[in-house]
Amino acid sequence: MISVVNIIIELSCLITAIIFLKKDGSLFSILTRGYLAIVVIIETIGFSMSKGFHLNNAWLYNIFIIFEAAYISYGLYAALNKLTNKALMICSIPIITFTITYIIEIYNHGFLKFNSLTINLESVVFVVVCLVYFYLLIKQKDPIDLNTNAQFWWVSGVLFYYFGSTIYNLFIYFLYQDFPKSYTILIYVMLILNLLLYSIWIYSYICNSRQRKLLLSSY
Amino acid sequence: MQFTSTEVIVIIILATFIFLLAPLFLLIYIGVYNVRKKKDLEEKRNMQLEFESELLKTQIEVQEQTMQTIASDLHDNIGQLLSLTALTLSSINLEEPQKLDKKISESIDLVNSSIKELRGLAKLMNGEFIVQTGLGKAIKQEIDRLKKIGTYKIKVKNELLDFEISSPNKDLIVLRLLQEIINNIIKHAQASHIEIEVFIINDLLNLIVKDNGIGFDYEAAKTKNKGIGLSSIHNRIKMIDGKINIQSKQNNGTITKIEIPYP
Repeated sequence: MISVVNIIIELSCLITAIIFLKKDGSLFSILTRGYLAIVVIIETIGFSMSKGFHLNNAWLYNIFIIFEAAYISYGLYAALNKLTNKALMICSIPIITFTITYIIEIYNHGFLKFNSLTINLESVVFVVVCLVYFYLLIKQKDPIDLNTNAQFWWVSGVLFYYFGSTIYNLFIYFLYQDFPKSYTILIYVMLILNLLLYSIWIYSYICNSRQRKLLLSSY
Repeated sequence: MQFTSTEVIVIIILATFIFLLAPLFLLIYIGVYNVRKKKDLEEKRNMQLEFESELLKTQIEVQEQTMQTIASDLHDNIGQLLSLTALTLSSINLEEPQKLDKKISESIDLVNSSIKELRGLAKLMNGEFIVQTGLGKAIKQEIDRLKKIGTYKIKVKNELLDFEISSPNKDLIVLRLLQEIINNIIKHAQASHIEIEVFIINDLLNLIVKDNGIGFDYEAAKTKNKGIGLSSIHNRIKMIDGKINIQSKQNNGTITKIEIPYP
């Protein structure tokens, strides 16, 4: 049931992105729609594999995290690029970290076990990059219009999700082994985090559309 | 220490709550900071507009002062000289050739004096662009205007005559400040002696004006805020980050000291 709710949330985000970003031809917008479509497809397949056919879907999510890391890194790069000329250098850190840990984990335990260390470490790196973004944003001379700044809200969503998921990452194995009955709470935590992430992203797409309308009206 | 399942759930809920609160506070902080930044920018913009409008006002006042001087010069000097020339020429009697030479030469002298006065006026008209020629020269011209009145014994120490660095906006305001101080002396002080000093020390322009007039109650004038344009003097000095110190006592003269970062 929770997985279905999750898929509905992700699907809503995809539909909103298609509606509000359809006139935005930037690479980030195209990647956003593509990524969200992948999210919905993978979640649906993953859910069917696990609940319908009782199959191990870890390999599927091992593939998915490649898309996740690439998309979030590019999104952060696009946001940082407007504030600093070192955006590429900053955003190469999550890519390098991801590649190294991913290869090590695959080498250590193969492709059929989920690469949790990779995603845990990546979460920390993403949080740090988000904080760098906010620091640079504060340091900027001119104030920003929060009602139309899509990038600000997109990064906020990333910060909420990856900072909040620290608890999930910290407790998941401990609970899975010692308190299997309490494990369900983490599923709810993840649901709340997903709801937060996609709600904030939906708002960022609305901001993107407002931003574009403002730009068009100023011409 | 062993935790029960319920305790673990409570810990997870609390920890998640705290971990979500942290970014929330960060976003609130950024929002508040952004609003403050907007407000500061707005204030700065308003201050800039205020400065520009005050500068324009100062420019107009300097022009008005110049026009007043020109009008009174035309009326009191050149007008008189030309009337006298006309009178001298009309008194020429061709039947008295012995007086002809004298009267013509007197008329030529009067016309020459008029030309000299006109040249002086032409220079004064340039006063509108005076700040372009340097503050030292503008101050000199202002003092020359004062000297022309002839009522005052004037002592001047102007160290800015050969000073090459300038700051057009500040120059205009300093010139207007000096004009206002001099006008106040002429209108209210009943002084017979005026001392003016202008010099620069440690990037600070010092303008000191002393008179031996009847003085005034500075504190009372400041609170009443009328008549002698004290508030306008204070506003202009504040605008260019300067300081003013006025020492005055009834029947004991006035000392006005102005200090302005320069250029």
